[in-house]
Amino acid sequence: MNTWGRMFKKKTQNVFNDETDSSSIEYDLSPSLEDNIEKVREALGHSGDLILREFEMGKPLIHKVATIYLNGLTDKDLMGNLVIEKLMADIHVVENKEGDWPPDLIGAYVKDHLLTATHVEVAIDLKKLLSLLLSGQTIVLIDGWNQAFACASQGGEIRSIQEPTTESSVRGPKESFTESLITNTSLIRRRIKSPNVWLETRKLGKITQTDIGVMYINGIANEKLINEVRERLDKIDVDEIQGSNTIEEWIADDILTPWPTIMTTERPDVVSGNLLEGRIAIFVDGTPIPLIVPATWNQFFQTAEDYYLRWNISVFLRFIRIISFLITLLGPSLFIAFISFHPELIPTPLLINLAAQRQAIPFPVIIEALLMEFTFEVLREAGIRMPRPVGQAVSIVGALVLGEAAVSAGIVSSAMVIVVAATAIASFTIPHYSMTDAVRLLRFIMMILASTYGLYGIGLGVILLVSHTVSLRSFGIPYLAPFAPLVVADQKDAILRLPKPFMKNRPRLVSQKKTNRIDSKKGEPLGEGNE
Amino acid sequence: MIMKIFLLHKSYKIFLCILSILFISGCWDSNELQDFSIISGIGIDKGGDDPENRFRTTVQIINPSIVSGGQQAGSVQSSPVTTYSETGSTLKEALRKISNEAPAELFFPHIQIMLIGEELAKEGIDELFDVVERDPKFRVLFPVLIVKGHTAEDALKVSTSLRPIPSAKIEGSLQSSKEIWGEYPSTRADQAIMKLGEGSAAITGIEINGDVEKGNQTANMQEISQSTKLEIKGLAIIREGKLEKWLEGDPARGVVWVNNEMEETVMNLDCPEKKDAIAIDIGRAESIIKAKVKKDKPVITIRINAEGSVSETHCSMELDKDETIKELEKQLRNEIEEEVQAAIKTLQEEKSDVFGLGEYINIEEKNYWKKIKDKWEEEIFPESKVNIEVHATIRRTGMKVKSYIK
Repeated sequence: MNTWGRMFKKKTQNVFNDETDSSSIEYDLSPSLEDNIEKVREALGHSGDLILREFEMGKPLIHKVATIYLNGLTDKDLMGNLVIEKLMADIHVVENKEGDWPPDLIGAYVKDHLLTATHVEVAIDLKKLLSLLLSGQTIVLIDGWNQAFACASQGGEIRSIQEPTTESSVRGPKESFTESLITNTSLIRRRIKSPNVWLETRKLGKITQTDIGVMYINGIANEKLINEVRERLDKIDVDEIQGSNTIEEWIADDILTPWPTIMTTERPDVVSGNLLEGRIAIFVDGTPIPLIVPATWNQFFQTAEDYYLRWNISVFLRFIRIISFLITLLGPSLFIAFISFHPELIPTPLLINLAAQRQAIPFPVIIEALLMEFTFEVLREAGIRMPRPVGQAVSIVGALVLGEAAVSAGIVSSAMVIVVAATAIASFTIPHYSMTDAVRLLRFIMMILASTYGLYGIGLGVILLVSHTVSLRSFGIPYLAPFAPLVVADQKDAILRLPKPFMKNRPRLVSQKKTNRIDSKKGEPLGEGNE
Repeated sequence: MIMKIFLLHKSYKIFLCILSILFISGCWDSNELQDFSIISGIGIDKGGDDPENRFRTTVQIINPSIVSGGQQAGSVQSSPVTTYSETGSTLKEALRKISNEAPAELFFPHIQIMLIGEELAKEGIDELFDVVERDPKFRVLFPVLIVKGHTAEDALKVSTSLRPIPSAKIEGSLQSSKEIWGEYPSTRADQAIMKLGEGSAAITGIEINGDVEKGNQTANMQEISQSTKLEIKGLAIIREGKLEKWLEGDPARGVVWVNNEMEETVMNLDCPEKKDAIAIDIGRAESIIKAKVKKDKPVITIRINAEGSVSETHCSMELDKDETIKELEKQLRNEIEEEVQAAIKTLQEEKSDVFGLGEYINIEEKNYWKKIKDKWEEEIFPESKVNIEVHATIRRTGMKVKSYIK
């Protein structure tokens, strides 16, 4: 199953000890305010963004109080208004006139009567305190009490919701996920106002302590699937989670396959659509791209736009995408096979044309093809990596030098330029970037097969590829469903996209319970609990 | 580390095996386009009397950069094709010998026509097709033509305008002649092989009009009316592998009618006052052949259904009347019947059953056919009764009913 994961697990455990980061620190908080402040400071290495405010509370008996927060993670207005102001200005701690209240009572009083923050948590030890501090909460320490409050005051700069950049749509909604987990889950909540949208949160990554949210619709998502996701997330044993790709590579069924077995998206509507089909979304804080499991091959050829356009044009576009996929995968290799192994299959006028173009070309066709493909890949990479202002230069050099000059210099034939260009354009019609990348690599394997065996090699390559793909599973669902195994009912939304009234059932293999989208007996909407 | 991953999994061992096959095999059978001389047409002539040079083969090789055009503008226009000829005792030998002259390996699959010189055709063409059938490099789907009065080498040397590759021009003319005019059929190599195996065959001819030497120059191509032209003409009757007779005109078209190869043609009918003044476009035609044995003699019935429309008339006729149409249909019937009759008569005289009528008897009366098989062409076919039934219909009179001619 998870070959990669299994292989590295032992090693990781040896290297990485659970307790390394804080083993030298004493956990318990002391009653002394000075001590506690010193402990926190020391734990954070006297970091400059640790802001400490000490003041006095109460009258006539004075309690020394300190608030601690991390600069940038906290909304200062909120913290000032709801924490410091309340503690300082409110002088009603007069009831403890004799000063005989135990510290716990003072704490309880402060919490119950003074702090107006929306969420207040008690940190009983330093570890808890630090984790709350690092997640942006304001810590309140009271002299004489060996515990602390953490008041909700998360804030600071986060990116606002913007238009999707890689999955744009004409008629659909124009919002995309941001780096904030809470913003992202709220976008889904706004779309599906059902109490059955459940969110399980956990922290992963021993050092990064990244928030992970597993979202599904209770009653629609298969429980086995939910458990499988939980189990796989449990197995992640690593100190850092850098974005959702880390999770993807940890929990994917097969990491050595060229195909993506987990879907990613940046569109809330895609996630909610998939949740309603019974799939599970995994949000990772700090990544605007959640994961969707299980994924099937055909999902990577569907776009959100398909459901916002009329069904007939959607079907047409899906066919175009599948054909483009085939062109991307096999275009250059078929060209190579025809030219160098089967020129008899080319129509005579075209053959004469190609022969004329190739007369002065010094390289065999495979070298020519690899040269052009490699150049194109370099251009593509350069286009992404280079600084924006020099972009113009690269596109001019790319278009002129490589397109026009290479042909007139007699290094490549113009037919090859057309093939490579057509392949490149076709590859951009594949809606999901991870699928484009998969085909990008497979294309080179096909080209080498074509140059050694011709059409026979392409045939072998395709057979190998298909048999490998059929053997794949994504969280228990056959990767090529609904084609292999063939689920006739699910063809309604595979390559075809029938009008919505025909889509009364959810995909059979994904959601094995509650597959009917329209409950005719009750006339009630989606996801009304387990039945 | 990476190697460890590959060694771990069984499937990656298999992958490594597959990978090694890739490199062990090399690029067997791989060829680059520039290493080929693409042959557009092949010609076979009689070489000489001694077996050393029995055949003389000519190949017409395409010069791709001239044909595809635009690539070398400004330079001296060379000819779009080049021919090379060699002699040998077998065709294959002669073809291989051409490698001494040709710039690269000969590439056969794109052959468009095969020409046979008349001299060789008269001596026998039976053995020519074995290599075509046996050698995987050949395709058998190109038409075969016999060069009337010249050698195949001469015909392949004639330059043509409009279509720079002469073989393509010949092939195009043959196709359009077959489809539009219907006088000469197009015989593909595989059909020729089949017919020759059965007995007699009819193969279309090609003629060189004009001086061969002038045709060999590109100047010929630049003339508005070319002084040397190639024309599809004549239907060669091959009996026992030898050219016996050329058919032209009505009998030739009669063969096409019977062979069910008629697609479109024009028939001229008479007006009351003018001869051959009405043109009928035949748009659909079919022939059904049936054979019967009566009193130990074969009786063959050829039924021809033809449909046409009036496309031109030089006299005033009442085309809106049923009787007029009926009259025309009758005339058309007779006209077609005459053509077919002429063809059958000529071929009975030649003792050549190019229609393959014997096969119909074989289908009908197997045992009877076995008895007469050996003397069919020689004795029985010339004496057999052939009934011709023509059913002609005129469907339309074009865009006008009455002509302005009074």
